[in-house]
Amino acid sequence: MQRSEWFGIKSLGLVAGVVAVPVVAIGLYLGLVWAPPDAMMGNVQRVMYVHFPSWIATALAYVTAFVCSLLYLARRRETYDYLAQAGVEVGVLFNTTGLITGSIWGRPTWGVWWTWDPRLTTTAIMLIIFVGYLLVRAFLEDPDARARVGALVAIMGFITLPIVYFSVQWWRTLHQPQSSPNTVDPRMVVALRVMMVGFSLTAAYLMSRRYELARLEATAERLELEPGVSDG
Amino acid sequence: MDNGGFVMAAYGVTAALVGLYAWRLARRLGHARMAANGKPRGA
Repeated sequence: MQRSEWFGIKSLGLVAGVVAVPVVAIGLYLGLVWAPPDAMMGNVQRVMYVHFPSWIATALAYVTAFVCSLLYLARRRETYDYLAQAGVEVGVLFNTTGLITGSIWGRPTWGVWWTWDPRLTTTAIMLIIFVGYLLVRAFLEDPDARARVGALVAIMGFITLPIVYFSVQWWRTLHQPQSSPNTVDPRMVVALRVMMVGFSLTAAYLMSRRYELARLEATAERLELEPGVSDG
Repeated sequence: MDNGGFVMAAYGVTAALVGLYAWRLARRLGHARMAANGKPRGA
């Protein structure tokens, strides 16, 4: 583990965390107060300003997990495994908030909390696979096997991401397809983009913290196996 | 159509889950720092 590499990730994470707070605060004001209500859905459309950014943060975290898992399998550097763990855990968090906020939005607009629509179903499958990643890691004791099997599960899980994205185009779904910024009020676009940036920064901050945790856990594990080893 | 309660629920659940995760992560980091320094929990 390169110290400079660690300090780089920690510094970037801290900057992301510090910037995220005002950006999310501004985004909340824009989404809840400044942006107009939707002509059809009314105020309930404001759920979009936390629902969609949750998916952006999920995608950011899962892409990080996917890329780092590939890099781990190619180069076998622990740093990539730590980052993959961070990506999956933070991805599962925002995957969950995305599903819950979608369900809350679905109830007044579709009349149901949940339906086995292709978009919702593929999203739930994606969450289950990544929760599986966390369970697999919890059950395997050998650190090398844990990292290798975890990387394979993360790569498999990532395959669901494009399926989730294109599901609204490939199949007839209740969920709306991707909308264009040109068809909505510009204030809605601004509020949504600010929240997307805020959620992405929050995800980056949490991933940097989770990366630190993985690094410390590995050091503690090595200490247990070989007393005298320190995180130099 | 207003449905302000659904909006507040969506924002509240998101804030609660992210806040809870951040708090748990900070606690786990504290324990891991002690373990990595060779100190038992609560020492």
